[in-house]
Amino acid sequence: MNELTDEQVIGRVRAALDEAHDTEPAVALVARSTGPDRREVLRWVGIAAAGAVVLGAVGWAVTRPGNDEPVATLPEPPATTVLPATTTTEPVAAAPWFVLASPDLVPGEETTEQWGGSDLHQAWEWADGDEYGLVTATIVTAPTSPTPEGDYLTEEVPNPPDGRLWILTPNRSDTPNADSTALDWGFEAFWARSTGEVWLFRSVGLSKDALVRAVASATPGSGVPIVIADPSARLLGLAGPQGSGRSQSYTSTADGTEVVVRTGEAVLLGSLSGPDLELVTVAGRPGWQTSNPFDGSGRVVVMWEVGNGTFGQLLVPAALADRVPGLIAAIAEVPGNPARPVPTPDTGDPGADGPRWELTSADLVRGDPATEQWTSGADSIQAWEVRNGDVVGILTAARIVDPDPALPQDATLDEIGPVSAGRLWLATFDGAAGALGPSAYWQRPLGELWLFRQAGLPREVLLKTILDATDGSTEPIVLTDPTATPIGSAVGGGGTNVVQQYTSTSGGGQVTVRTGGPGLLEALAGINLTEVTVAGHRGWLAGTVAGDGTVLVVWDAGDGVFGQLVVPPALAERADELIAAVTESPAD
Amino acid sequence: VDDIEPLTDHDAFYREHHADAVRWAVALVGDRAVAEELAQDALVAVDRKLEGLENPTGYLRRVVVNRCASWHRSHQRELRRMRRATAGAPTTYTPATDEMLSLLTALPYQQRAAVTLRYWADWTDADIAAALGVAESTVRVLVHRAVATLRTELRPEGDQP
Repeated sequence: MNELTDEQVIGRVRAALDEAHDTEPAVALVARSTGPDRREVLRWVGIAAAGAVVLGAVGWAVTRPGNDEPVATLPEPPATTVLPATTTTEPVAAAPWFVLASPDLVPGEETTEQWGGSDLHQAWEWADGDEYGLVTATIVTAPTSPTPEGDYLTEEVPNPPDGRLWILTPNRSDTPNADSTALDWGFEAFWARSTGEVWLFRSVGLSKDALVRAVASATPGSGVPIVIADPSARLLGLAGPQGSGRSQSYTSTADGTEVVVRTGEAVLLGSLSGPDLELVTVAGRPGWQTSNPFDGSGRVVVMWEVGNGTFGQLLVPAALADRVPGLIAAIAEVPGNPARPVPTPDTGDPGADGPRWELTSADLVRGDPATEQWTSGADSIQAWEVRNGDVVGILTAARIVDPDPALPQDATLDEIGPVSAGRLWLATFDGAAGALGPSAYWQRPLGELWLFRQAGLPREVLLKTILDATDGSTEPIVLTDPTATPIGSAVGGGGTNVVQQYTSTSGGGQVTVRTGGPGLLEALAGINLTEVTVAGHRGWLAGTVAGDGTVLVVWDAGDGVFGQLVVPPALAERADELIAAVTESPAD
Repeated sequence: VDDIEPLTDHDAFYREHHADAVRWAVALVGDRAVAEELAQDALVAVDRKLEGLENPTGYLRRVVVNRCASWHRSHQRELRRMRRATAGAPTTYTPATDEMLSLLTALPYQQRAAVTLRYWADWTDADIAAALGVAESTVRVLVHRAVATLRTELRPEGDQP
């Protein structure tokens, strides 16, 4: 393929935007509000990095309940929370919380900790036979140096897949306590990417070989920044540049030392350090314990997985280190706070293996297959078939863990309530998007947004089906309504579709056939849904999807693989013929 | 003539910046009609605070960038859905423009903002960095990544379907 030069690309950008600027589209893709006053932007506060630096580039600011004045307020909210007019929204309820019950430890005041920085953090658990440990990664977008600096023994890895890669060994024996950055951790990896970023990996409890293997399988992800595509790795959590947590200190009546209990995001895992990683159970949840003889503090750090990307932390000073097992046993979760694990990104990608379907018709000329990457902004997409009396429909749910909670600005929103948890709105769109039918936006107590879309389901059936939805332990969202049958689930927030287009030689535009995952079901929309059979597989047909006569068909080939057929309005009357012309491609 | 009131600072600011605000928003959302509405919203927001602003133009840049980011967040799912549903249907734009607008929409918002504001709206890296709330070096990285992605995905002119 003749790749364009940068100048040609920029020229194309300019030409396209010139045309967009000078063109008034006849029909908007989405309905718009009628005036600026319809929108009411909830002012968010930006918390500047302030207070004690706890972890690297991450700054923390501490506020007390009831006095949540920000340390600094940005002049304009950082493009975040958009809520409908006439709606006042209380802050999202707190994440699960833990208390420490011990007669000689006096609880202090709970504090809210806000942290801000510029880097993304991810954490994985690594388990392969006897090898067990944690890996954390930080993406440094503006590194101060393109090569590793500090008191390390460095070893450059030859021929990495991208940029330059070094494995770093803490130089403990030569200069103990000379460089806390080096000494606090086990083996590290410094990967200077060709993009100018640095991916900094740190490990606890892992051998050098295991870390090299983990890093070697790391690639940029579509739903998360980094994917470690190795079956030994399990994503524990992801923390963005800003976040918040809770903290409470307990003061010993014997000597005045303090034990700290905290919850927060994956970035907290950075406080685990030391040569040994001990597995523990805290409040019934899997956790880890470390003590780092090289940092000179004698402090013991215990962390546990709360779920939903949140972690608990117990910091025990050296003076109380011998009581750690008892302190762990004394930790209890405050009732009423459900939690569940973060789903593992879907490393399998149905679209990555090439087209699964062929469309054979005398007047359709097949083009070259292409791939399209898509991201959803959600961390999971699930789909159900709903059969309620005569009604047959498809329901999809996108779970957005860190949503910058946004409700649609241009929809008519009806709040449904009270509901079992959080707040639920039913949204209907005007104009062309109105053909998509109603959607439901459920703001959950822990801050997630569940976005339900449907095809073929009237409002009352949609509501009945989702009202008893709950957090799941193996799937992100569980529908207990017996009329809903799961048909697909994908996590990771994105994927690859294979697209095959067929051009009609007799006019009428192009027919599109896609191979992908359950995300393809999201395109199904509309009031009417018809069951069909495509290449021997169960499928669904939605007519007038875009309000213009486009016909869209999706079918379930099993094993998480779905097909999609898009028929333009001019060929809509041939939909049945085209469905019948879809066949499975011969296996390679 | 006596009935004509003199232009206030607010009127003057609006007149001076309206076209720019629309242009910036077009860069960020790729749709003239949506851009006009978002620009209008942004101008209204700036107008409310005009007296207290040291750099009203810089503030307007930031408000436009933020409003467009919010718009993307609340509409990206609808956009993607509609794009899939309407694949193959005739569009308003030429195929090359349609392809580019689609690719820009698929870029992460900050990458899109960086590349379009630098090369089409003629913002400086400092302006972009201030509006996005990132370092200038980050802007350069964002532009680099955006151009690299577009270069990979773009078809030569005339090869569009």
